[in-house]
Amino acid sequence: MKRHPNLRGLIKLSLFALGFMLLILFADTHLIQTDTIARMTLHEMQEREDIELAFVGSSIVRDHFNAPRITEKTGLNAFCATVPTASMPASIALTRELYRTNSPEWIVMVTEPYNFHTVREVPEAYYRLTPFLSDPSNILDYYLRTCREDGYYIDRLLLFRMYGAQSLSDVAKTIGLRYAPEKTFARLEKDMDPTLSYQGSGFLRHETDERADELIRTVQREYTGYTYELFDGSKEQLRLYKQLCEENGSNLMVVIFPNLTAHALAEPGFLDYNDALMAFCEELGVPCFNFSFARPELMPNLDGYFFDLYHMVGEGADILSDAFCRVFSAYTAGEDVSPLFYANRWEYLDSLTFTPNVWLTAFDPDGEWNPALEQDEARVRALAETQDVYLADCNHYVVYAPEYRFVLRNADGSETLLQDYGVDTLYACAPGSLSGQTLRVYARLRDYPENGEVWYELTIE
Amino acid sequence: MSLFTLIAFAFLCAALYYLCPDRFKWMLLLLASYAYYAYCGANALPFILLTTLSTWAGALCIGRIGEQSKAVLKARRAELDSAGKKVLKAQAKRRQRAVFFAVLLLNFGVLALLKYTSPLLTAMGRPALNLLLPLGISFYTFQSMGYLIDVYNGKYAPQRNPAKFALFISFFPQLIQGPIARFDQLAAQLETPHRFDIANIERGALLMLWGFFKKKVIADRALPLVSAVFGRQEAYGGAVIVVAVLFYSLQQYCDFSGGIDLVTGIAELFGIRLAPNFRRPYFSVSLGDFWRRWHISLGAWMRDYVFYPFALTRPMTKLSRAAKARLGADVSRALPAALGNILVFLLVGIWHGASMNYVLWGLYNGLILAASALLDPLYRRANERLGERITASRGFHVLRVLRTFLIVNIGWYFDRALRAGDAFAMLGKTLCSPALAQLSDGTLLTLGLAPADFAVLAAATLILFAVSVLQERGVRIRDAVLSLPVVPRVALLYAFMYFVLASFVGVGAAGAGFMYAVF
Repeated sequence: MKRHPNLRGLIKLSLFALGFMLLILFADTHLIQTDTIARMTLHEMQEREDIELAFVGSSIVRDHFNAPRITEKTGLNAFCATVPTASMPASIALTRELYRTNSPEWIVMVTEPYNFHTVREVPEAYYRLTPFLSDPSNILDYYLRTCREDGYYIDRLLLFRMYGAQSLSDVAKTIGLRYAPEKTFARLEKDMDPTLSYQGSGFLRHETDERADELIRTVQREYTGYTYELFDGSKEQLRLYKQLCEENGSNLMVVIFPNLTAHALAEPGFLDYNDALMAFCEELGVPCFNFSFARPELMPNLDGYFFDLYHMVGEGADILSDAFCRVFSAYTAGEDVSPLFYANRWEYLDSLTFTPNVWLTAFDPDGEWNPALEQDEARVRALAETQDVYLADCNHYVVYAPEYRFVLRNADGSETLLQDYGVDTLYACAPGSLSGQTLRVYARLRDYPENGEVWYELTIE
Repeated sequence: MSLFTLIAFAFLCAALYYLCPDRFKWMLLLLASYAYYAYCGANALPFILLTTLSTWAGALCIGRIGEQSKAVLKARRAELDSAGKKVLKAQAKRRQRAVFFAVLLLNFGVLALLKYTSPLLTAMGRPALNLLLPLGISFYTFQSMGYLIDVYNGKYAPQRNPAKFALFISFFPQLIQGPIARFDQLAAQLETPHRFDIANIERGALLMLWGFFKKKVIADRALPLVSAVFGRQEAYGGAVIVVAVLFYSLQQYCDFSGGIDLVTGIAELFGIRLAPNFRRPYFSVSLGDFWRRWHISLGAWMRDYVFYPFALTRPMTKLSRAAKARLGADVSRALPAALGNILVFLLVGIWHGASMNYVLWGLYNGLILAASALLDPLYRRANERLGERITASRGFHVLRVLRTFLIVNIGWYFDRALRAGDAFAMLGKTLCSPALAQLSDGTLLTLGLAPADFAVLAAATLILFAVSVLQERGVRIRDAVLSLPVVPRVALLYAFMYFVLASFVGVGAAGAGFMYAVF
């Protein structure tokens, strides 16, 4: 029988395409960089079959839920199933992977508006997670879920482009962590940042002397026009997530992470978002606990433990883990845990008898007005016609009136008072009179001056 | 439509095309072309429809007038004397001319209105109008007007089927930026049902890959540096400006010819051969040679529909005769061509845009070509004196290539500068204040390209150069690659494809569009 020339050609072409797809697959899994801790977490999760209490989410879970400690306190084998920068799509993919070898009784999804405020997910989570997922259908589902949101169909297929290995040691690390994770990790651990220690069960402990005190001052409220809205897409994914847990016999709990007070209050809409999420969880019948609203008897304010805007050192993680255990144990025992939390934002804000941050802006008469500044625009503009105007501002939600003091910082560290504590939020002076000098503003709450003051300074050009 | 979507769309259409019964194949292409155009911007559809219908109807009308005239002449052959026949023919020609100019004016009028109104208003200090510039309008207008002129000149009979004519105008691969096709070369291919041939798919895909490489790896990577320097030329010395001009040379060539390779490859998926539009122009030995290798289809269009009709007009013939008596036979012969070149390049310059830098760019090219035509006898005599040993040597050839490259690049100053004044300022700095230190003080790394980008560009340009040299020596690269033994062929293709995928510019649906798509 005569062979059809096109058929033979088509087969050859298909084999050629298949071969190239395998090459791409190899590049996507071997010729890329690998997040060591994320890989170790996944490896451990895939090896275990005894996980009973799984925390799912991003680095805020990995760094703050001390799984070994929680295991000890709750009696349930706890594990942090995490990938840094994960949002809902990664959480779903992670949870599906978890279910391949485990049947946890509880799934605790930990969120903050940053990683849950939209269904979109940054590609970093995808590259950290996908190469190590074991179920092709889970990978495909995760790929389609994320690409439908952001349209990065090509980028996610060609991970080696964005996250390609930069050196041979990157390739060796990736291959080592893929085929001999423990041995490779033992080798890599020696050169890792000494302030980090992976303590197993997905928990990463940070021990650093750095604190976010300075960063607090840089947390400025800028008007981005962005609203922290609980999108329909996010709701849909949470609904799906609940269904996934139910199908696998797990109970779902949602925990809202207690952000740095200054940070949480500086973001317009942050509290609204948390309220909306809690309301939606209630509608879904999913228990949801907002640890931002934890009363002091449950947990002290954790601001002092943050070493950056998002993460705490191990001590803060321990406190949070203990607080969680207390709530979890009481809840699962059928007790009423509501007295451990403020009932609403007003009770919470009323408890904030200090101002966590303050900032200062040189008003630009030619620039656009920043609606986030709670100032009288007409007054500011009128003053700016003849003077230089500096605007002080602090948190959005503080229910107590702040007052401000403006000083000049001299080169020797001494200060010259320009305007003493008062409710006026602006300082005006002759044009150019502060050029080259440093203006500092102090803020405190008028009713609680004893609770301390915060400052921010600006060097005038 | 992004490049990836276009490629996926092309393969999908090719699959449907070969599954489709033969008699519907051309209709599928028409449907695909209009779907593609609508996807790119449905509000531009009325414009392409206007051009299509007006040209189709105009050509048909011209054809009918001619046929009627012939029929009358035939019927009244016995009763008409030669003067009467002439009168009848002249009447018919007048009517044809009226239709011809009406359609020509309508279409070039629309093109001019959309393309030049806003720039002219801006130049006059008035607010610009937000007029839509339909995708590929210049290309389909030139293509349809070429057809109309050919029908008017009796080169071929008009297409009676409006849908088939619409396909000729809108065939989706070449709609964006050409090549400007001729009806007698393309229409029959579009209407003929092509059978599936794996060789067409392989060859087409290979050419598409090469086009993608030129566009996304080279052109788009070079773009930030070019934009940065030309956008703020006052900040840079002559040396950096020279680098930017060289990058522009590369970027423009790879953008345009890469796009052409891509669309030619797409057409080959359907078994359709488009006319070549580039033939390694930077290997040209003269400016005339360059313009016969760069945007060949536009050059041929200008030659056939502007240059010759102009050079052969009665005033030009008279001028040539007058020049013969005063300036000699050589000048007399070259004068119409010289003036024709100036006119053609002035028009090409204006086609690029309604600003002085484009006019100057056109004039620059036209004047050099005119001078070349007039001085040709001198060149020939000089070459004769040098002797064949020198003029036929490789060194002399390279020298001519470099000279042409230099001439072309001086023209790019005007083509790419934002304003004519900028072009002069940049030329001035190139000659008088090179600021060589900017080449080594890190300035180059502030122009939107990281060291890795320069490395990728260098490697890609080397590949491009090597392939071009081989092509220039007559090697048919695609044939050569496809005839290699299986292991080296697959290894070579995999390596190249991997390089392209690893280094192309653009994420997601992003990336720069084709430069010429908006012309």
